[in-house]
Amino acid sequence: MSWAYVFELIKNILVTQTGIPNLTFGQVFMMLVAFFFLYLAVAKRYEPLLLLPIGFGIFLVNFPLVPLMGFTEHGAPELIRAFYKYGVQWEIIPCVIFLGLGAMTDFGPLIANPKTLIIGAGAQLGVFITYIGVLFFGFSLKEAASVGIIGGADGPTTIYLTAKLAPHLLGANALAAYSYMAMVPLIQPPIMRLMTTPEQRKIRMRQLRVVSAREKLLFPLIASVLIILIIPAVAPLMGMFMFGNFMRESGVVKRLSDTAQHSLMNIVTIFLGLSVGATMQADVFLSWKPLLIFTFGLLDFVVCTFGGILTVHIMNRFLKEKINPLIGSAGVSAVPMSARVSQVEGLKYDPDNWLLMHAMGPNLAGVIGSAAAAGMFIAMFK
Amino acid sequence: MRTFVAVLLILGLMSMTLSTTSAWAADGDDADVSRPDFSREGGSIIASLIPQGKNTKIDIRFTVSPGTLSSVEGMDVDETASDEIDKKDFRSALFVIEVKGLSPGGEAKISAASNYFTSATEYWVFRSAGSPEWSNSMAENIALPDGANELVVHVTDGGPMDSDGLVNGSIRMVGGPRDSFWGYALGTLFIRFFGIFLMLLILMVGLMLSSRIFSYFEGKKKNKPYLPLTEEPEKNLTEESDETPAPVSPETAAAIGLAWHLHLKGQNRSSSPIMETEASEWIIHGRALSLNSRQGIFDRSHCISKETGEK
Repeated sequence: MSWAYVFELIKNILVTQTGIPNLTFGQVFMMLVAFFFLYLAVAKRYEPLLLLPIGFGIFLVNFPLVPLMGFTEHGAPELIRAFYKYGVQWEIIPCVIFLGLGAMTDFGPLIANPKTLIIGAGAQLGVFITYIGVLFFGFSLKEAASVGIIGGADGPTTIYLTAKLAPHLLGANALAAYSYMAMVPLIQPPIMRLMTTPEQRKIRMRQLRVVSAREKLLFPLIASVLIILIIPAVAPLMGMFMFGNFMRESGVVKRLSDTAQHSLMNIVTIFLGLSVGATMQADVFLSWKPLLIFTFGLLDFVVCTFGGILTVHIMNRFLKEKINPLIGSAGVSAVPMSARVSQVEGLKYDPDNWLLMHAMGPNLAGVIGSAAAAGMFIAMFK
Repeated sequence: MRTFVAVLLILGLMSMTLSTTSAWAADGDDADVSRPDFSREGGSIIASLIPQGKNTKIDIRFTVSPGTLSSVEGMDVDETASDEIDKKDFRSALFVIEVKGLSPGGEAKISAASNYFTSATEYWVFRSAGSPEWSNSMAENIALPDGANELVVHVTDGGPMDSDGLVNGSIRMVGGPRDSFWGYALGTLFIRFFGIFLMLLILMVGLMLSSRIFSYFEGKKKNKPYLPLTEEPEKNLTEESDETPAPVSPETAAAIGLAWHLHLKGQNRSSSPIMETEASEWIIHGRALSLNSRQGIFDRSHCISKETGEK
């Protein structure tokens, strides 16, 4: 055995079996992106439940030669590819998250003031404006729909629709959705101030009526019938959402409801975050599209906020009892962050005006509205 | 605000990376029209493909009369490379149709039928030697009873739509169904946005109606006469109840209050034992802190008597 042979062997091992010589600039850049999102999650506590696993997923998958997102020599999916395939590609995890969200949600404020449902619809304006906007930049119809839904400010809905229509944009869309959801307290207040007068911000709303347990129990059934009959495509999301809520309100399956709210939700969140992060490999992710997605995602949130407040202004023209337009911004799903923003902004102008419960109505309507928008898009491409 | 700056920074970094890597490949993902598969059914040829903006396959049935349909092949819009058209308007695909068995200079009616076509769908024809290259074939658009639309193109052998340009008893026509992309995109946007309003409006009406029904029945329940205490059915206290409790007379309330006061006095306590036992560690700690801070007011140990100089 000659030294030349030994050196060749070492060289071969280094090139084919270690990561260092295979590391590309794009991968290093993506690791920096991962560190940025990990920083946001850990230091800034911005949506840490999602941004942390997403950030770590990006970090892990951008090492060269890692057996995580490919297929084994036997054709079986590698670790994170398996999470992705069975959780996201099969559209299971977003629906399971909706189950948990349903189990967590108290629809009382929405049932007490059903008019706020209209605000939830108005706040979907940005979804459709963005859909048209990105088409001008060369996005296909399916890609445009998946980018538009970011403004619905609903992570699972965004992931569900993107996995269905444009899976190659999953990472960018999910990241944009969760990042901007975390930034709702920064994005919304300037628009709220721009679109309202100080007098309008002081409007006091009548205290919500008490909603009986029976009404709450029947709500998921009534809502399921009406929503799924009109948009059958939304059944996986809305069906799970209402099922979770029915378990909660029935009060007879506390263990199941608790599991859906906590353990199950936490488990799927881990797999969802990792899988979504792992789709952001340098060779796939680094293109002009994520850049546009982030830009349009922000615009989407702005227009959705605008749409919600505008809807309240229009409604106030016809209503005897005026609605405080600050709760219009809560139509941008992002439960309960955007409702809290309405509350905080309201208190600045009238320290005794508690808008939180009023804002929860449009907030929940926003969840239904964004899922309906997703259903509309799915139906469109059927 | 700093986060905004950070996001802008990362976007800037990404754009810098774009200029240094060959990352433009993702652009190719736009082409989401699938290559058509063809099958023959008698004298017809059926093209199956997933068009732009669909997730499911559609069928386009080609027939011709007179003459025989020799072949139909798919063609990518990019292959015609012309500025005269917006390729997005061709949402399905382009087709190269070969018709044989015609008398020289004869006319054939080529038809394409699909339930993907609408009343606004046109059939455009491409001819590389023509000027302009692209032209509207002015196809008849016939609504069929099964919900499909049929586009019928009248083509003359050797005429302007015959791309071989020869009077030879055969026709070669290159072209495809065309719909206005922006018309579709904007139309569907409008319809779907208002669809959401409509859906939530229906839900709102449903909720309003159901709440009225509930109020009616619950109002009825409240108006029921009270049963004597002995006849009242036993209730499971663990069950949540939405019923309003029966009103308590002032005499009964006073009696309960007095009994509770005497009970606490007897135990030499100032507050409810329930409240104490239910207080969490955090509340107890808070109470202790609050009491300790008040203690300073009563603490006279730091006061020094002016006369005696004693504390």
